[in-house]
Amino acid sequence: MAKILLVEDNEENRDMLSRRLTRRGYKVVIAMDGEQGVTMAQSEVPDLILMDMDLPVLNGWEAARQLKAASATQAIPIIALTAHAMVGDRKKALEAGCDDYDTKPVEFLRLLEKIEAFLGKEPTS
Amino acid sequence: MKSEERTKEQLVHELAAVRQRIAALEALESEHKRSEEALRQNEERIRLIVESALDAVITMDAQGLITGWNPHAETIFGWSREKAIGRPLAETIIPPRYREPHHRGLQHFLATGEGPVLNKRIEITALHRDGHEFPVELSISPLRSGETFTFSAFIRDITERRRAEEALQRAKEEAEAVNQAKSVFLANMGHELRTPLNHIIGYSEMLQEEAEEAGQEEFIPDLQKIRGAGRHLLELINAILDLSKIEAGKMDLFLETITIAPMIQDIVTTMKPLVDKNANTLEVHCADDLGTMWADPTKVRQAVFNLLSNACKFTERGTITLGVIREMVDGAAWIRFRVTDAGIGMTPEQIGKLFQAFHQADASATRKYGGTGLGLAISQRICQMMGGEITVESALGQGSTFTISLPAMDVRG
Repeated sequence: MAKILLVEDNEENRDMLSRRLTRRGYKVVIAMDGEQGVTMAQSEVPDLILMDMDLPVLNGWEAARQLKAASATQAIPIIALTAHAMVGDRKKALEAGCDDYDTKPVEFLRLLEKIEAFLGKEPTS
Repeated sequence: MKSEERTKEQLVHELAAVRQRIAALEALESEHKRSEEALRQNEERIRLIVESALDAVITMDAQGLITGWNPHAETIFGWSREKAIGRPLAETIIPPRYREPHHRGLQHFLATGEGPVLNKRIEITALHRDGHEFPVELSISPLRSGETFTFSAFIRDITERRRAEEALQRAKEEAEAVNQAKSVFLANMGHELRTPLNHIIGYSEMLQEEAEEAGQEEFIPDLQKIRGAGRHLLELINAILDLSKIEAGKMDLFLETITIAPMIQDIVTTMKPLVDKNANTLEVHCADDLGTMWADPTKVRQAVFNLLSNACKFTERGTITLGVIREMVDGAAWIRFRVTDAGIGMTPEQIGKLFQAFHQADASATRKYGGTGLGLAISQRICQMMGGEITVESALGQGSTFTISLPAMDVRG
C-alpha cells in the first residue's frame, strides 16, 4: 500500500483529501505545516508528498527545497498544490524542486491521475 | 486818379481774398471741431469699454505707479479708483514675496526691452486689499508713449475656475482610489470565497462517492446539483478575480516561446467533451508554417479555449471551424486564431456590447446557455495585454466568426 504524506494546514482540505485518498487505497499520513512536513518526510519515508504551498511556520517552497536538498528525501516525488491562476506560484514550485503541481481547488480525479503517474495505479481496497 | 482807382480795385480784391481766407479758416475750424468731437466720442467709447469690462483693466507708468483702474479692478482688489490711482502697483496687488521679482522684471524691461512675462497670458497669485490672496490670469502689454512706457494689464479672477479644476482633480483621484480599492477587495474576497466553496464542492463529491458505495442512489442527483452549482459559482468567482486583477494591473504575463501546432492539438483534445455535448463537429485547419510565437501560453490557451467553448455553447448539431494562420502585416508576423460557428449569430447592437463585462448578447442567453458573461471581456483584455485583439464578424442567424490576432514577436518574421 503506497504511503502519501499530505502537508496541508486547512482542516477541511486535509479531511477531504485524506478520506478520498484512503478510499482509493492509499495510506495517508498528515502534517499541518511545512516544518512538520519536512520532519515527517524523514520519519515516515512516504512514497509521495502532496504539499500545499501556502503553509504556516515554513512555506511549501522552502519545505520542498529542504526535502530536495537532503539525500534521504530527495527521491520522494512532491506534487505542489497552488492556488488558482497563480502561474508565478507554479513556476516557483517547480523551481523549488517540486516534481509536478496541481491547482487548488483540487479536481480529485485529475490529481489522482497525477499521483498514479508517479506511483502506478493502486488497486482500490 | 488812375492810381486811386487802382488802389480801390486792389482793396476790393484783397478784401475778397481775406474773406476767402476767413471762410477757409472757419471751415478748417469746424472740421477741427468735428474731429475733436469724433475723438472725444471715440475716447468715451474706449472709456466705456474699459469701465464695463468684466476683467480688471489697470495701467501703470514706468515708475510703477497706477495710472488707470477700472470698476472691475475695484471689485476684485477692493481698492477704489481714487485710492488706487498714484499708488505703487506692486504694493497694491502683488503679495510681498513676489514684489522683488516684479521690480527686477520692470527694471530689466526698461533697460533691455525684454520681458518674459509680457504679451502673454500667465497665471499668478494676486493680493486683495483685505490681505487675502487669490489666483488670477494676467496679461501685461507695454505701450511706448514718446520716450517712456505705459503698461496695461488685463486681470481676471480665476478663483472659481481653480476651485472647479481642483475639485475635478480630487474627484478623479478619489474615483481611481475607489476603483483600485474595489479591485484589491475583489481579489481578496475571491480568495476568501473560494476556500469555503471548495469545501462545498469537495464534500458534495465525497458524499456522492459514498452514496454510490452505500447503494443510496436516490441522493445522487441532488448531490450532483450541489456540486454543479458550486462549480458554476467557482467559475464566476475565478472570472471576477481575473477581471479585477487585470483592472488592478496585477495580471502578469509569463512570456515564453510557444510551438503553436502542438498547443492547438492540446486545446482540441481538451475541447472534445464540450464539442460532443451539443453534437457538434470541430474542424481544425492549421497552416504548415505556424512555427512559434512569443507569448504567455496559459493566456493564449485561455483565450482560444474561451472562443471555442462559446462556439460550442451557441451551436447545436453544427460544424465549428478553428483556423490558425501566420500572416505578415507591415513587416511584422501575426498569428490569427479564427473560430467560426454555425450558431445563432448576433445583431450589430449585440456585437457592440460583446466585450463588456457582465454582458451576454442578451440577458435570456445567460439563463439558456449559462456561463459567466465575463469570458470574452477577459479574453479581449488578455489579448490586448499581449499586444493583440479579438475581432468579430457576425449576422443574426448566420453564425459568428471570432478572430484572435496576436503578434508572433519572434525573429523569424
